[in-house]
Amino acid sequence: MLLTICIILLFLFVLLGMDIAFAIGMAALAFIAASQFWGRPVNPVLFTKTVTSGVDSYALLAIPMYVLAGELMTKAGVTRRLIDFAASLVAHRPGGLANVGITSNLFMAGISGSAVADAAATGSILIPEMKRRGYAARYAAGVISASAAMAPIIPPSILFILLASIANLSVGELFIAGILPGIVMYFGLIGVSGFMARRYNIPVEPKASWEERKRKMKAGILPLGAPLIIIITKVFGIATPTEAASVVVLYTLIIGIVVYRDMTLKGFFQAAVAAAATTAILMMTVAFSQIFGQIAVLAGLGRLVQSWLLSISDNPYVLFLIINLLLLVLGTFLDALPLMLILSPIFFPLMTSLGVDPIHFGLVMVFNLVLGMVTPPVGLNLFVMARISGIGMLEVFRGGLPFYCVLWAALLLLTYVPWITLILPTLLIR
Amino acid sequence: MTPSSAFVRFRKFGEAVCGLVLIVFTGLVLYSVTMRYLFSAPPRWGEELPKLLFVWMIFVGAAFAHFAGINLRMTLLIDRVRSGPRRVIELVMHSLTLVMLLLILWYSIPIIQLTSRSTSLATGLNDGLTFWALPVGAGLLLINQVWRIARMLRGEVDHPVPLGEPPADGRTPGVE
Repeated sequence: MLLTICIILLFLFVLLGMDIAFAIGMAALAFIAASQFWGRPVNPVLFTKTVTSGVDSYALLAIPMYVLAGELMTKAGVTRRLIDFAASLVAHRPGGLANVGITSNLFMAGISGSAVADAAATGSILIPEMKRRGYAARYAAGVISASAAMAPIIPPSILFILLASIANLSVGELFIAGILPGIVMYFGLIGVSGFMARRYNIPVEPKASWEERKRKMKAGILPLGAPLIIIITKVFGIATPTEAASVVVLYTLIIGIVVYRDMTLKGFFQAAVAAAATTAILMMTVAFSQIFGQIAVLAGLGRLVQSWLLSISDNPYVLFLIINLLLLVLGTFLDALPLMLILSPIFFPLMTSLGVDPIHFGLVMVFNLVLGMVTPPVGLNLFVMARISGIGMLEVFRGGLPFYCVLWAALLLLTYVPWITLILPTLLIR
Repeated sequence: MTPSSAFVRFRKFGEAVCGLVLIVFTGLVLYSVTMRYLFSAPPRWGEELPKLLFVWMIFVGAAFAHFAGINLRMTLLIDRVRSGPRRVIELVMHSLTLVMLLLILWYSIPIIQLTSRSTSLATGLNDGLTFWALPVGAGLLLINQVWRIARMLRGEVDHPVPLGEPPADGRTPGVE
């Protein structure tokens, strides 16, 4: 009962515009305060202890470093070069600039690990360009918002690092497990783009000559070494994902300073300041979510949800469907980070006890929460795209709907065909 | 120098320190992996020191990010409320946050007292140092809350503008 009130309070605070980290903290504090009078009292010192301990983790150190690598890439003009490279490869195929948006987001996904950052970086260049070429603003914004959803699935991924830290999984395995699902997403999106192009006669761009392709590839291929560093260091046991992140930062610095010569000392420092602020805000939410997650466990929410789910069915496929629906609904109202931190300790023990591979379940969970970013009313990607394209969030959603449909289909495919997720970790690591 | 411009300098200095901390712990991790892989001599503090700096960057960095108007909140609903009722709602939200920060300060004392009795074997530093980061960040965030509440009491709504700086268009934010 107490916990139900706290969950209602949490949603109320979030809806009324309180900072998400503080809203979670306030709801947790309300529970602790109420527990002094009803039920088993919770020591308030648990709050300060858990908030700090929740982020005192070596594995989480990878997050600011990947954010820094993303900022450095932006400062070094990598986004423009990747878009040009993508355009030389796919702009002449049915789908035109929409293909370029999807392909450049695939490339960006291998560098930054954040859907919102990728949507903002590629969207701010491509959406105005697409509008100029006669594409509807809602279509342009929709396709970019959907393609940015590849970022948390293809390594590196901030959400995978967090999930690994909460559910005690291997970050490396999660990273490798995300590669094939990312490729499934890519081909699904490219397929829809081609279909839409044929249906609505969307113009294609002139085919780039081999000479031009070679030139664009030379300029854009180097940043794609970042995901390779992560995969190679993991597969050959050279470094942990956190250590690999520091190597990626060094790699991006070398590209920016030595190869592109676009990186200045001032630019490097500005990137570090921006990355520190972004990560601090993000990690504050993580820190406060940890205490809420702990309280949910203390209040027996896990047992309650588990027995409720098991009373419906003990078939993992049925439970997968219910959990997918639950996450999709919750993901539309709350950010992916707190949801993952609060729900993982509840769902993981249940699903793994039914024989589901934790890496498979983790991937499905992250995929699901990422789809929440493109679903109104809260979808963060929709919000960013609406701001860049100058149209409403619902318009962006309408424009992107054909692409979101293919992502939902991909979610079902990945849920019920675990092979796609597990084959690479099994072959390369296990 | 006016108090506002002094605060802007303080804010920029704090942001720069947090950026520097990020560069330092990235360098430390890189040094660790190099020493381990190339020289088989990983430093003893290889994990503990970067972690300590990371925790400080989070809580102090979050406070400076809030000073700069950066936050993670949902404004879809509140943006549709008229400025009068909106100010009341935001005042309540910020006052509740203020109370939470005061409670964090109060309940940090026992955990700091407890952890300060031991020393980290890896770094030789007091274990309590990790737990100082949250109250220091909370203390800085208190300044943010008081400043924003004072703004609202003057008739503004809570637009995420940096503290100490006028809004970009020169208008008073949120006043209709």
